Amino acid sequence: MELRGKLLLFVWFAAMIGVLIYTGKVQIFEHKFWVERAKEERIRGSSYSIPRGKIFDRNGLILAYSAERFSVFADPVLVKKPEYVALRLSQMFKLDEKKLLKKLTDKNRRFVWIKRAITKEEKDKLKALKLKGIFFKKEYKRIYPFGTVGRQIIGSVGVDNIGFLDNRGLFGLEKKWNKYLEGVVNFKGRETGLACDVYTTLDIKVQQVAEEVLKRAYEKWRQKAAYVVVLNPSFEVVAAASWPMPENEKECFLPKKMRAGCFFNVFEPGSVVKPLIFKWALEKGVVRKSDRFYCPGYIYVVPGKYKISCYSTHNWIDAEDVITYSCNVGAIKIALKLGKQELYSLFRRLGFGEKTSLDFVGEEDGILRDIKKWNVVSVASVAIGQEFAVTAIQMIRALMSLFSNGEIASPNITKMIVARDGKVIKEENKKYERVFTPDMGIVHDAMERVVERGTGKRARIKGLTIYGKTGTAQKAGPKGYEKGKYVVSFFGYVKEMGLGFYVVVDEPRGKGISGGKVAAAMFANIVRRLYEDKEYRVLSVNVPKKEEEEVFYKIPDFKGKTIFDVVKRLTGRDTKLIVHGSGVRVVKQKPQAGSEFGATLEVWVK
Amino acid sequence: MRYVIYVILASIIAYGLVVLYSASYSAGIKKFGDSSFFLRRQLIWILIGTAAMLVVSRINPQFWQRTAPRLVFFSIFLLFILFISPKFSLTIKGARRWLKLGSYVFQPSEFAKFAVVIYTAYWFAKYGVPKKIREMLSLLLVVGLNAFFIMLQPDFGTGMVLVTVFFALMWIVKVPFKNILSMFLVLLVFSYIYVTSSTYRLNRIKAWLNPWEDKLGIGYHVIKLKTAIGYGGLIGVGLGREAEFVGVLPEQHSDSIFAVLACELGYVGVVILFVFYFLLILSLYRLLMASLEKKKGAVFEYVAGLGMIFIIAVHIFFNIAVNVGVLPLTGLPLPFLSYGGSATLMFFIEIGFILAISRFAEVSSRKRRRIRL
Repeated sequence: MELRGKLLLFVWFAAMIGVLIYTGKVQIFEHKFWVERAKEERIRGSSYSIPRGKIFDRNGLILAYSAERFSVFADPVLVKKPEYVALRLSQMFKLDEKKLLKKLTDKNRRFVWIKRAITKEEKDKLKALKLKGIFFKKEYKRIYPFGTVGRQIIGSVGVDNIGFLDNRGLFGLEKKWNKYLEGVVNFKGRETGLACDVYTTLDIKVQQVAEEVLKRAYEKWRQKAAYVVVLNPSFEVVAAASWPMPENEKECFLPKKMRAGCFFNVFEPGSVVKPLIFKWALEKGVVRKSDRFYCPGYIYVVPGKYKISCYSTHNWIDAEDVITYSCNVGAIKIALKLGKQELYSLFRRLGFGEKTSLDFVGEEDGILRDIKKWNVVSVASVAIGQEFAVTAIQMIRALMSLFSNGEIASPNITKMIVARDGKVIKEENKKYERVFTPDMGIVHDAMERVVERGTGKRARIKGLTIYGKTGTAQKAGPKGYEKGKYVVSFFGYVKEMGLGFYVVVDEPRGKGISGGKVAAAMFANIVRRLYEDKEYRVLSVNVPKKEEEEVFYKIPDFKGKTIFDVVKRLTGRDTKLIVHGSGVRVVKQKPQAGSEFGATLEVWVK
Repeated sequence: MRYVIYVILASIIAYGLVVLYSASYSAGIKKFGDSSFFLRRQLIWILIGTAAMLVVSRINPQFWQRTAPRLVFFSIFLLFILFISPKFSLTIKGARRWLKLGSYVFQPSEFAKFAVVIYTAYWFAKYGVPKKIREMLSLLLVVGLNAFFIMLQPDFGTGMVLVTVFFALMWIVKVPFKNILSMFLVLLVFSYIYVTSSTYRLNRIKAWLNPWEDKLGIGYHVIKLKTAIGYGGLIGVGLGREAEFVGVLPEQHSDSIFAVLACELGYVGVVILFVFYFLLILSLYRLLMASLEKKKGAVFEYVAGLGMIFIIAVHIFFNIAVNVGVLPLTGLPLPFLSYGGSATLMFFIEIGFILAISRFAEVSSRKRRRIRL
């Protein structure tokens, strides 16, 4: 009797194990199939979507929007004459006829995708064929009018949870604000997404120039990495470019290329920290403008043991010129006068070693050792920007405090998020903290002289007032600092533009590498190109009002306007412009003002 | 040894409540404006069940042996009332399964399983093992009546559990195999008639065999459950997020709770559940065997105890097998996980019964030892 009880229990165990294995098969090996099926059902069902929100740059140019498209699917059960249907479809979309036929004859399925995101014209053409069992679903394709420009920041999109095309943020702002941007999909009473618009502080033009300069720098210096961050005194990120970067649409889906290194990669900044320490020393009264330092070309930090050398023998040098010529000996002497406590408290105030609270999909902390671990050598090292590590955004934020009356705040990329009804859902609200007193005269003079006659001469541009500082930091390897490997950088603030630029090049290859040679020249390239474009000026973020939104979808009356206005209005659309005649002023247009934008816009100019 | 059962039971219940909450909060809001409505109701039933289990564990099993005929008669009586009187019954989705007493509802079929097991054990203990079918007609009649009324409700699932457990018990007490086989054949004929007598049951069989044939019609339910399970993958989509990806399942917080668990916690969560159940059944069985060591030759305790374990084990197997589509669709609760008052209460009582066997075996062996001294 007992044996039989045991046996039955064993049968139960065996059956349960069987079910467990079967469940494993369904959950693990068939997982993808069921996920696809669930998506199919959701799309096939009553779900619909409205387009994902748009992303704008600070001048109201569209960086990302979703254009209406149609996706074709078939219900194999309803398809009649599958051979004919397959033939027509394959001709139309250049698809493999055999594969198509296999899909169309799979009677086990009632939903198969044929082609996603076709245009309205294509749809109308297909519809005219009146094929049975072929259906359409409205979907939206994400379009980035500026291509790969700024994509590390803007991001990319993919298929969303429900199964709709291009509605899930994969990188950058698209990911960060996905909750707000997501197009509304209604699936069984559950609505996803709010389809809000995001207004960024980016200036796509500055971004474009910065990226081009980084690309060109690679041809020359073959650097491992490079960053350009542009901040204004309100700590808004105007541009942030990082090498390596995506160079075509395909690469916009590679995590390796889409990583915004300027927020994530840490490095020892080098001499660019000197103005900050100098200002602090002035403020604390340990150094005065009239002070002079003697630089024999080296300094023993630990007598007889640890020597830090200078770029050259500066002999007697003015306090200001310590910055101008980036004198290590002078900087170290100033730092030693301040003492480690003061240095550490300055660095904490400047936010080194902690996140800047940037509104992005994460950033790195940087490295600042605890003061308890500092020794004499640390004070000296820190004074010349070694022994601690920062991200590019951290460094430029700290430096910008010298140009925002001594106050510092968290940087931001997003200005505001606006709902479909025009309500502002999120708005950047800055909290400033004071680091320095507002009197910047002496520091500004010193930094101006860096560009005029100091280490950053290559950054000079006629007609512009530039405050700069170079940095050349040695890179630490496993066995101390490595020879020939540098992180070179240049920070420059252009008074006329009201912008601070921070250019960093990690491990450029070549001879005589220095911040003044590599990074300052790149800075000059960027600024010169922006300056040459007379029209260029940084505007405050422009948020179109509700009525203007309406206008956005309608063609305005271009008569009397210049061709440039037309081009401007067409940015962010895939409307093709056809220009007749020669000249600048528009005399005639087709379609007429007030109608909606179509595939083409023709204008006649005189 | 008994505390092991308490620990395992507590773990299963805690695990189940988490899943129940995640499976029922939206339904709670929709129907009652209260996300924790089902959770709180279930908690109350768990408290009642626990109390019932503790009470039953202190009742000498011989009490049940004595009252077995009255118990099974009472069960038939309840089922009969349910059958004849619409006034005292509640019909949901075409099945009249609930007795209504004021605002309280109870499922007599849940009680019937308990009563039938007790009566079967009582019968074998009293009359021994019959050699011929003729000799066990009275037992067959009593069990048959219970099964018949349950099938009439209709409640195919509970009927199946009852019949499966009864057959297992017959085999265990060594009713000649040819007799069991002939009874099984008769049952098969009845089942065939039963299933083909309604298109709805026939459709369920069809949907089981090939759910894709009409996947928006009868196969919908089957596919939906499997989709939810498959969607879960290895680690699941996260608690409370099943509906977001797959949509609300039919009987989400009761019969389909396994699919919700599988979707939200993935295969990892499923394996954990299986481990819990294996431990529960194994420790119940070992507890029963350990108590019978102390009390040799106790046919009633042995058969009834095993019967209780089988009820729970068969429920677990049937429910999960239905959820993953191995068996045709039928509504059965998953012990200690599904929402439902009567079923939860009865599962507790069934465990309480095994605890009672253990407790009183100890008492009697202690007594014996004392006498020997």
